[in-house]
Amino acid sequence: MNAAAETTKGQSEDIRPLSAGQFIAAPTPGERARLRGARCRACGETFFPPRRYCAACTSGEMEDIELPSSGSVESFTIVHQQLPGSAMIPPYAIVNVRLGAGPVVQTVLREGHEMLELDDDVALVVETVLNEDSHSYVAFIARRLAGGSKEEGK
Amino acid sequence: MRDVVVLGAGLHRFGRFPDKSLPDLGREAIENALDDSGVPFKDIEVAYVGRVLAGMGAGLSVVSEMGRTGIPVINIEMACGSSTSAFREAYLSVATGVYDTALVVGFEKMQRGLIQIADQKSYQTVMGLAVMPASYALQARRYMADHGATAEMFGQVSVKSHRNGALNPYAQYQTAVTLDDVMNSRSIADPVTLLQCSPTTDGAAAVVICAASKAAQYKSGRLAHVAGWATGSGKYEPTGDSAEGEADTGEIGRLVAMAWERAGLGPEDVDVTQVHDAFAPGEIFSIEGLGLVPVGEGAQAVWDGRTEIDGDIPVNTDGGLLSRGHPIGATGCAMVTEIVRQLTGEAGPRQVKGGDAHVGLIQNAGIGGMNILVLTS
Ligand SMILES: [Zn+2]
Repeated sequence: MNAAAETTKGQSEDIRPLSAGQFIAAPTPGERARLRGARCRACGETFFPPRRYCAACTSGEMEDIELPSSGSVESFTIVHQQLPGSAMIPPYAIVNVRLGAGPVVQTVLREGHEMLELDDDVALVVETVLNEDSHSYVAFIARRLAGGSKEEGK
Repeated sequence: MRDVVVLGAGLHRFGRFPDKSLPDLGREAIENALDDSGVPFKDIEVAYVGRVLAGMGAGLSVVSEMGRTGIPVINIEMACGSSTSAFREAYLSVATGVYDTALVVGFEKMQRGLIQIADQKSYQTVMGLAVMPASYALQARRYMADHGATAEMFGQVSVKSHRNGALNPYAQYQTAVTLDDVMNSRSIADPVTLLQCSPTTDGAAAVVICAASKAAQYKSGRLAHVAGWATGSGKYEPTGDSAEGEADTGEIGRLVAMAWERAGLGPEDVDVTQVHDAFAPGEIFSIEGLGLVPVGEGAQAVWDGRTEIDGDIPVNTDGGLLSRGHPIGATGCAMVTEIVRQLTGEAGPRQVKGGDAHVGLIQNAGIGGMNILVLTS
């Protein structure tokens, strides 16, 4: 991929995950996030991000799993203060999203944060969060599912 | 294990002291603790130092201000819980008979603004997740929905803390505030407002401990004894935990049970408590985790005034982290200092139970880790 090539949107075609190893397949902005989690073969506990040893039972028998790309908002807070070095411009929400029976993941929700409520269903979506040195850095963010209704599947 | 007493404690006032160095702050706290204890520095056999942001060997540069007696000076770091970790190590060194007298010191000088808990280039920072009050705010919002609490109940913690701080000449903030002041202050991470955040602070605190069998040569009268302790690093609770933040109520409950077992006491025996209120909701989560009130009733207990100095479960009588200030490495020793004053009847206008306070409980947390201490007199 040519790192210097720019799209019409001003984004680089060189797309890199902001956090290496977070995705199970190459992330594409705008699409559902396919997150790489880990499941303990010994006790069944699941983790995000993946880890080499189980935090619950210390087993090293871990396997990669693909996590659900949607979940419910366990809690959230609206951040009003700019964090130095952050690409997120307040106000935005930090959300803890419970992925079914799997782990709770934390991310941000930008659009429509003022309508957010506890237990809302949200999708995890790939988005460009930072353009730097002609690279586009992508991460997963949460997006409200319309009307808080249940999603219709992938 | 031998019986160990706290012979003396003292602070350098908490606040902003741009013209003072760490040795300036630390020396004054050590002088105050030594004066209170009756122990000359030449009798101190070991020093344990809680500090976080200072550079290499900072503990030695502070302790050696008092003289170069050649004693071991041990630097300890566990974020905001550093100096209760130092206290615990000092306690174990005396209780096991290695030393008879030990000095515990905590100090910090801090920048203004939100504490930077992750590197500027880190994922957590770029994504805007490394916002210190956020973990408390996330827990607070869920708590409000689950237990019918209001944002004002969290705000009331700060009103109480500032009222207590106004009675403490060593506190960073010594001015009372109203609930309107708290609720109308700038929102940081909703529902946590600015006046529900502990400030960044410069300060130092020191404690002198001694084998009880050696105490009489230095001091007589009512002394505080170390009755129980517990330390942990945030045990993983399978499913159902939040993804971020300091140890939750489950961890507090796990540790305080260990401390009660060591002390042979229980939550019903507590006269006065210090908890880690880095942000106002912390007091409510902590008193529940410690078993002082049932889970879900902490917010109402604060609202009803039960954690006030004249309440039945007085908490953070010196203003807590919110008002006394939070120089992270010094906070634990300041907590010990206030409990010692309360248990020896020397807390002045902040004194609980008319001076008849005999069991003090301390909970000091630092990103993931936590220390519980039980002192008795
Ligand atoms: Zn396991």
